[in-house]
Amino acid sequence: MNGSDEESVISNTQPVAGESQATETSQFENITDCDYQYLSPRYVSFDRRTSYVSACVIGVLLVAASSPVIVYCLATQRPWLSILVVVGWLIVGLLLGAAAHAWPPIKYRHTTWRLNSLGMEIRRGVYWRHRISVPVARVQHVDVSQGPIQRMFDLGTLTIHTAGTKNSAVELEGLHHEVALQVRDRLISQKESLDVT
Amino acid sequence: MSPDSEARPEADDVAACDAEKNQIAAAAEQLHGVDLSLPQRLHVSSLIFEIISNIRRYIVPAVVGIVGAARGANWGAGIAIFVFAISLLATLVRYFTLRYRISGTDLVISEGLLFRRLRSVPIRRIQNVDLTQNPLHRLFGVAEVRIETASGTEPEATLRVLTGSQIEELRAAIFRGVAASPGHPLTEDANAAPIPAASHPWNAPTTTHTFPTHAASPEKQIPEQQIAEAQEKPHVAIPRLVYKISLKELVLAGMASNRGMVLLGIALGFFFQGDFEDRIDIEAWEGVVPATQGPGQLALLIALAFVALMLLLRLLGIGWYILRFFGYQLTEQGDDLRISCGLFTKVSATVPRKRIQLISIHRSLIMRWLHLATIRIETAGGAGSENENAAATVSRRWFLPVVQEAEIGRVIEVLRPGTALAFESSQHDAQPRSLPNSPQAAATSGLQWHGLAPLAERRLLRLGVLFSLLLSLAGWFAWHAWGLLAGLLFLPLAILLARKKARSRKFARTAWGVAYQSGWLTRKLSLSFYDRMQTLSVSQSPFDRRWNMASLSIDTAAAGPADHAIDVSYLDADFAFHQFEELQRLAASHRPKWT
Repeated sequence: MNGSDEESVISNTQPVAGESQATETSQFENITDCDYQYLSPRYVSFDRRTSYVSACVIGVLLVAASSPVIVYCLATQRPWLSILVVVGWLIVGLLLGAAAHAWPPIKYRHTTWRLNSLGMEIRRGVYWRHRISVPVARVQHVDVSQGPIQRMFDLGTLTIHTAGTKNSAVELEGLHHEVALQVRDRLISQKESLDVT
Repeated sequence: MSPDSEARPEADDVAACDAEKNQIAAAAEQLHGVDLSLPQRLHVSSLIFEIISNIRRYIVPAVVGIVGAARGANWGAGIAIFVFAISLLATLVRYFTLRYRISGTDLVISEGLLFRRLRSVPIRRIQNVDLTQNPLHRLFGVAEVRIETASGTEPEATLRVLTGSQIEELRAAIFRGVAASPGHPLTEDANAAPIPAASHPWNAPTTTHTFPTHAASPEKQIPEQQIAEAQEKPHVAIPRLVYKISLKELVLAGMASNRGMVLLGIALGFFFQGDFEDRIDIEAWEGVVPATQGPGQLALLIALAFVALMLLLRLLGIGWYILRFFGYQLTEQGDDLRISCGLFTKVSATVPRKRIQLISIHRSLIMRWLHLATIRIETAGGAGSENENAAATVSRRWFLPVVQEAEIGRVIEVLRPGTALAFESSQHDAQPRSLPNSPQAAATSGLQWHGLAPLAERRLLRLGVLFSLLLSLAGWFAWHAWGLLAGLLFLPLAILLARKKARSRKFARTAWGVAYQSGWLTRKLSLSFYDRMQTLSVSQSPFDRRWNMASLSIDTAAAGPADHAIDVSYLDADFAFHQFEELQRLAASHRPKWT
């Protein structure tokens, strides 16, 4: 994914590959107008990195919370118990690490979006699946934001604001920054052309 | 008002000088003689109402202070005096500094001594002018005015208080301003889509909706007599009565409602807040309650007490309804709906038709027996629940507290022209059991109802059974055999609930939007419209996928407490996805007429 310099990045992003997606979510397949797009593949490595960080934070908190147990074990002359606790730490740490490594690609495969004349549609969720659609005419404004780590991966977050209540801000994280900007421009120009007519 | 205009010629001159700039103000002045382009003050009685309102705000320290003072503490008296002084000072400052005027196309309100605040509200953005008048207000012939725009959660401006004539002038100027601004959604819409009078059989031929944009131009001279005759301004459409609640309907509604229970709850809360021992002197009751001779007598006494309590509750409910909604009138004026009601505190609220997001018809079991219903609406904006006054409560929460079942279709047609909802009497509900998937509540004909997924009932049943089994398990651990029995007794209820729940939920897609009905005892029917749908979503939990089901929900700008939003679960997955795609298309092609 290095083709960020061309004008049509949207069409360059990887379209949904038939095999895996079609089998996994056959419910979500009967739309023909415009293909669903995956997020930027870099989102996987970005997501992994942030997941590692949060796994580390959780691990540290866990260790900090259970360290009094070790102190207690040592104080009561039962070192074997403290070894058990350390083994527990290692297991939890390994599990957290594995989850942080394995989850992002699964999540990536289950997150797609589509933009057409009707509006923006986002599908996401591995177990709990959601599909949300924002009609173009209901778009109030669109934000594209980029955090410091996202900037390292050239990613962006697209936020579509509507006048709704429960879903007043529909967020899509992990688009290529350039793509996010193009989606924003296209949504706004589509809305403006609607307003003129 | 006409002698006033002669008494103030210099005001005429001032207005004439910048007539081009202050068209609206000039027009207002020609009609009413008070030049709103000059700063106006609140009424003198504002001082009283402002103090009352301020004291309410400082109620906690004030009570603490007074209680302290009553116990002879010096600091208590100090606090009470301090609080009173502060509220008095704030009141005086507000009264002497607050000015409102109409400058060009804006309503400008300035106040403050040290911190000056100047608020300018564009007239064409004003959506609501709500009035509240309690008995004290009526003594002075004044009312509290709230001016709202579509945006905020709080009213844009509160003028506490103005006299009746001041209000009339302000309201006239605002309506004229709205009519005069060509870009306003109200005028735009009236021109774009005039409501065809022919399609409404109840629509009298004389009351057509006219919103002439040119009428407010100052050149147009309107004969004085005509103004005197037509209290409402000639450019604003003539108000037309939509619904009037009779006393009988209010009494019935009060009887059907559980308001009495709520009121009793509040009363008990106050009662028990204090020291229990002080209030109820058990000894004293011994004389009142006669010494019982046998168990039969005791049971009779308890039954009598129960009946008396029920009667009291119903009476309380009736009282509350009459107090709140006495003389309720819903009128239609151009594109606005106006509500006025109240026995002591009179309320008058305006709801622009544009702001209606969701219409919900609620019918509790007793109301269905009485062939009555409640119509609630949800609007965009103005949802400040903390800072709500009586007018807002009525228009946002209670829109139409009670309506004859036969009239529902007509009222809904006024709220949202083009729905053509034929609401039949619920007597029809009871008889046809033969139709498989369109059970008893076929009350709304003209709608193509779709039930839940065929397996939904079984799924809900399984949930209910699981729940009651868990309950009996917990009961077993707590009270052994008796607990188990209690849990198992719950089983038939769970089965009944699952059955009723699954059968009562229905979804329909129509030419104008979507209808969703649910509820077994209290039946709720919500209507959402294509041009009001903000986002659409379908979701599937892992369980949903196992049962091949999905839930469909529609998000609107309904800012009120979404009492019955369109959020349909246990739909057949294919059906839900098909509806989702259709709605996507329809929502995109129906565009909102407001922004």
